[in-house]
Amino acid sequence: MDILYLLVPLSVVLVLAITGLLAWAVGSGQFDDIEREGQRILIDDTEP
Amino acid sequence: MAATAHQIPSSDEFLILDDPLERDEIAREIVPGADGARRFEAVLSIDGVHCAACVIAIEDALRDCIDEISVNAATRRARLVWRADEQQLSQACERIARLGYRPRPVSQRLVESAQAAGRRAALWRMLVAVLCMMQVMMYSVPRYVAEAGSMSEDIVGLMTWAERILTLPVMLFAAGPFFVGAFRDLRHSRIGMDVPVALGIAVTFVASLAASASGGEVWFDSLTMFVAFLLVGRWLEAAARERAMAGVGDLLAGLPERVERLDDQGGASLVGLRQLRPGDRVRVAAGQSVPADGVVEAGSAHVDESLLSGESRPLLRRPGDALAAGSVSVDGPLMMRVARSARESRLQEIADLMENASARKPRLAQLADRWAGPFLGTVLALAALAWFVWHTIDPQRAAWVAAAVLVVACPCALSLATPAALLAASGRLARHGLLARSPQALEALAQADTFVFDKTGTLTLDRLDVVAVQVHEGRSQVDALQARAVAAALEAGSIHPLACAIVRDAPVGIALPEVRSVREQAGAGIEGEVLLEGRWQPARLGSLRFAAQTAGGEPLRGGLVRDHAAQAAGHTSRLSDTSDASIAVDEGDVHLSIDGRIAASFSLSEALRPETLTAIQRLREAGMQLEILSGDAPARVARVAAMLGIETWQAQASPEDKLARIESLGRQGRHVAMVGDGINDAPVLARADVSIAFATGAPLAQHRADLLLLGERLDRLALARDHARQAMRVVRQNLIFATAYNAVGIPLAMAGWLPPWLAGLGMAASSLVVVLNALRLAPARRSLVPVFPDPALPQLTAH
Repeated sequence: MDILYLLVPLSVVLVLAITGLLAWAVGSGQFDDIEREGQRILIDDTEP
Repeated sequence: MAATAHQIPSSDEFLILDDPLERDEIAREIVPGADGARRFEAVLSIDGVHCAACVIAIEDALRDCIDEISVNAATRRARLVWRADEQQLSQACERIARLGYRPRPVSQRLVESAQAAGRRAALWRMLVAVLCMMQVMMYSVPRYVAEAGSMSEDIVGLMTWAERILTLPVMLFAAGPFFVGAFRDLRHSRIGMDVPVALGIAVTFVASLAASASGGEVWFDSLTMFVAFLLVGRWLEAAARERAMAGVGDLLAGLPERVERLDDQGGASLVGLRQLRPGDRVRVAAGQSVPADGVVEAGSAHVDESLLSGESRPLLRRPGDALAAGSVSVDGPLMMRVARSARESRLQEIADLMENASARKPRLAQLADRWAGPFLGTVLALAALAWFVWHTIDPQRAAWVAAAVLVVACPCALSLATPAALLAASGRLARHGLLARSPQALEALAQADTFVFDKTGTLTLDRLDVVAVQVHEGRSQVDALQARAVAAALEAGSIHPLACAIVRDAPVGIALPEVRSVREQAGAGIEGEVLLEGRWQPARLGSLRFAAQTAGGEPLRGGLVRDHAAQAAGHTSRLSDTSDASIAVDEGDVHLSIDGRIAASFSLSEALRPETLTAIQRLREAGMQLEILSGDAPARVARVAAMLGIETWQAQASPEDKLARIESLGRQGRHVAMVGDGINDAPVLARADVSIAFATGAPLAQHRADLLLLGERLDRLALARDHARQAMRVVRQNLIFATAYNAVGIPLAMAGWLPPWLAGLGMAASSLVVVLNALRLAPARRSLVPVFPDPALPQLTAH
């Protein structure tokens, strides 16, 4: 069970890291408009 | 939001709002009151408003500084009215800011980006809380499932440490808004929604910290869970709230961001919507929406005006026809000339009106707001009581129970119950071409049991139609068809209402006879020569005396034959079925003489709106009492009433008579809905419980009715009533649910049967249920792709 002494702190670090990743994703507007990205393929873009 | 709440803006920041230019951007002048002072009205969006307590605080603070203030917790909008020369908007904003809220004028684009930033922050808080919650649960599960003694002290200690570390982001960051809100409330010595929640969170956290130090029971899992539930609930609620409000936003979202403006050389350039000026020529591609009110110059296309009038059928628009901003060209490109800038367009008027309405508060909501303060005070007292009682029974659980009581109580559900539903319902009505100027209008419409109609312009069209043609048999060489053709040919150049009716009545498929030397005699009629059977014959059309003059005063005799061919349209045929000769005489009759002999007589009368019959029928089926109050002559009112089967009517009624009648109906306990033209009838409309008018002609703001019919469709009345009743049903359901929830939840929590995490879930769920229930009334969101090309995507290029 000694491995827990490593794994539990590691999981804490991991959660904090994921939180940081989410912060970036939210901050850069990934979730601002979820519908638009799905519909984008349906729209012609005439510009190269 | 937490960040902005701390910074109290400097007073200079709002001074710019008093600048007349800026003021025109954000406010509009309203009709002067009795004292004649100039008044302006603006809608502000206020960040940080969560519940009724905030609303009351803001309203109280501003009451002595401006004329009118009303804040809506559901929309976070405030409507302000102030006197231009004595009061200042900047001062009002400053006071709001000093209370710790953040006012923003609504019509600025900044608001949208601020809202987007707020949404991101809220989303991140929620995600942090949920993520930490899940992991804290993981660490706490072994404590619940392990057999006593199977976990070593060290492992338990390790798990508790991990829980503590992951609870910190939740406490310090995710729960921030609750603490900030509570702090703000306490500093202004009032109790808002956030106070009990923040207190609950703090109590649980401190108790858990103390317990973890002494080795007792910890509730970090409960704590993170209810913070997460609350944030998820608020997040979903905000999303739902936004959808309920979408009716307003959608309207203006329909306008394109950039427009293809044509110059004189035939070139085109893309310009911003705001740069359009009256007189500019603009190309509207198929599938694009019209950027401003104007006139078609070239091209023809079917145009979908459903956003403006609720009319679902696309209408054909050809050169010379008017186009309204926000309508969409369905099948072809159009060249148009702009008549009014986007800022003055009809669409903007409609949006302003809805914005205003959504900032007003219905009576039921005011009631709920009044009770929110005392309610929260009671909750605090009950939590303290629970703590003391449990301290004597089981000190271990005292903090836990008190926290549950604090968290479970939810006045949010109560104060959201009404506005959310009415908001969603007004959005839906707008889709059908009905604008509610205030939420109260829906409330009153739902209760209405008597509909009183004005006649002219309401039940009937504001024009005359030929209802019957009588040919004087045996004495005339023309039949009815010819008579109509001759009359139409004579009147072709005239703009007199009678003439227009006769021209409209011209028989289809027959060439009009040639006429020459046509002269109009004001007030009498028209004369000229007409080419009949190869020779020019003098013809006269007008009053009997005028037509008979050249006829040498010959008296009119012989049988009258009614020509049914003239009654092609359904409504006119009904008209003549029920009318008899004596009534027809009462109408303006026009006589035609050819070659000195009276040939035919035309009966003219006002035409019913095509949809009047259905409208009346549907209202009658719904069990409404119907009545006509008109200033018109008795015979005409009687005939219209007979046609529609309305038994109660009053003719030649002055505005005072109308007022008296409405008041007497009110005294009989009736709930009166008055349908009139909205401008002339203003005082009468104001006295009815709810007033409805056609929004034609004048700018919308000048109409004084509670509900405006945009599409000139009277038959929408029954629909409006159905929707209003449905909205009130949802309001009642919401109020009952919110009351029941609190009545059940608080005793359960006090009895110790509700762990704090379940309390958090209950509180979040209750607000959500109320808003979702209201959302049933909202219009379905339509896909944005085919109708409104997204301006942010690069398909709107100049080539």
